[in-house]
Amino acid sequence: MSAYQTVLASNEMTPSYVADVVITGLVVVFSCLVILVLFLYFMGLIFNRNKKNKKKDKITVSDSTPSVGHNSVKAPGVTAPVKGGISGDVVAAISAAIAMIGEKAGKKLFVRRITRSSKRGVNPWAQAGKIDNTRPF
Amino acid sequence: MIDKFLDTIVDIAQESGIAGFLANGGWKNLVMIGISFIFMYLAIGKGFEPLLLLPISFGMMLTNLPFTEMYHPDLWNISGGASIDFGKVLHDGGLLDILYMGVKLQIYPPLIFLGIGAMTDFAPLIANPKSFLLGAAAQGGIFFTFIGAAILGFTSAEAGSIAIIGGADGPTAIFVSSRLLSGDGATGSIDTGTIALAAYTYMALVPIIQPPIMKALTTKKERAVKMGQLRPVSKTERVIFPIAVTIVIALLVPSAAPLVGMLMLGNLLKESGVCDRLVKTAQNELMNIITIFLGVSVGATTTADKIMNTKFLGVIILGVLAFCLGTACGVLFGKLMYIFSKGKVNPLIGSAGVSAVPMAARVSQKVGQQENPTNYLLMHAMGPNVAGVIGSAVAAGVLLSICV
Repeated sequence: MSAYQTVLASNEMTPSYVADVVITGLVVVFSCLVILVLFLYFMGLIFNRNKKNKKKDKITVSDSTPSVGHNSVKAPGVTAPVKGGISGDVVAAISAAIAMIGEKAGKKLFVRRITRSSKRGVNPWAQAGKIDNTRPF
Repeated sequence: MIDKFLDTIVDIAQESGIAGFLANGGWKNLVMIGISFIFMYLAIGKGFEPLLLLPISFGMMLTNLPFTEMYHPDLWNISGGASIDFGKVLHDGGLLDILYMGVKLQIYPPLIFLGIGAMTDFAPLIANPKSFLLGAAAQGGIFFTFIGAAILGFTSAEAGSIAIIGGADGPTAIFVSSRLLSGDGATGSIDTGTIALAAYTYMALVPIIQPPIMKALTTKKERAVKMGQLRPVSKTERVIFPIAVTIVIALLVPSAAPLVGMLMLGNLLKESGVCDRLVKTAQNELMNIITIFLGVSVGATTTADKIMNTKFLGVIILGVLAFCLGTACGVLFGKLMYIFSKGKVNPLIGSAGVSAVPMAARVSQKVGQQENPTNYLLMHAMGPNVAGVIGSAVAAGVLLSICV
């Protein structure tokens, strides 16, 4: 009969049995999870390397493509002018957002001016992205 | 004719539940019903783990209403190496006895894990594998509580059942206690219901228990650490992860296989992206049905004689100790990682290593934001949090191997 079985049969816990349970438990839990850490670490390495290789290949392919020169055809669409560091696209997006919020029948909205509230601090788009990413939790 | 009528009325009165309250020890049932009302209030009024606390408290009320015959403790009270006669349970048992078979046969907890797996995103853990270590460290609460239970004179099986409360994982606690307390080490003084009640109560109290410990063990500077962005995880990695974890854990700790296997099956269904119908069933219908069965049947086991004794007081004290120790172990290991990473790891994410998902991670986020409102620790804390689920399942496997 093993030491464990003796303890279990007598229903009395000796200090050495308790120490065995605690040490065994912690060692087994840590060992299992360390094995998983190593596995995930190597898996991450392999996948990251594959990604990098793919990126490199893409860059090489685009570099080797003969350039059309300055006369290359631009994508259709008009690039809006940039004023005060804010591009016309951003102005249009903000205007659309304001129109959505303040929309009322028979009323027209005009955006006269867009100014930055502060140049420092957290980027509100980044903040919104974070909130959106963490919402499920 | 009037005599016969009066006799019938007397018979009905004697067989009524009211007479049961007036009988010897019937007042204890009244007290238990009062306790069930408190839990109902916590679930409905305060929103503490309502999905489980409400069915548990209602089961508690049902079982303590005299003569309802829905649950028969004598069918489950075994000691001295005897085993449960499931045939008798099916033949003589009430509704709650039949439902309780799913607990005693360890069917419900793995099925709950299937649903949890189908709802869990392991990407934060895959992106930062070191989180596993925090999940492992937080399991220290389980094993250190085992010492406390031994000092208080519990048997090995009882000590294992109490200690697993520190895993902060209800299904795991039920899984372990239902098996351990069915074996030779069961004295009948505590039951699965007792353990489940303590586990879910403390899980609901995670936002109250954890922050003072986290603040006491960390400095302001440590709490304000902002962690870098996690790398994106590919679909292939997400698919490989559940398969690999199942193989590794099942090979090393086979007794943890039912829990980890089902958890990872649920996750594989989700990540594969080809089993939408199964995923929806696991996440919703199956999970909800099992939650109702589990809650109400576990609540039914909380009879007056199981709760109103000194042993239950011991379980309550050791349960909170287990939670505190688990949190402390996680935070202290987080501090260690803070030192070795030269200040890149916020130790607050260590407390999320106790598996209460996602409550513990939310607590890390909240405490972190108190120091620095622009700090987002949630995704970083989700890593140790889901690692804690796996860690507590492994710890459960160890206890089942040693204490049975």
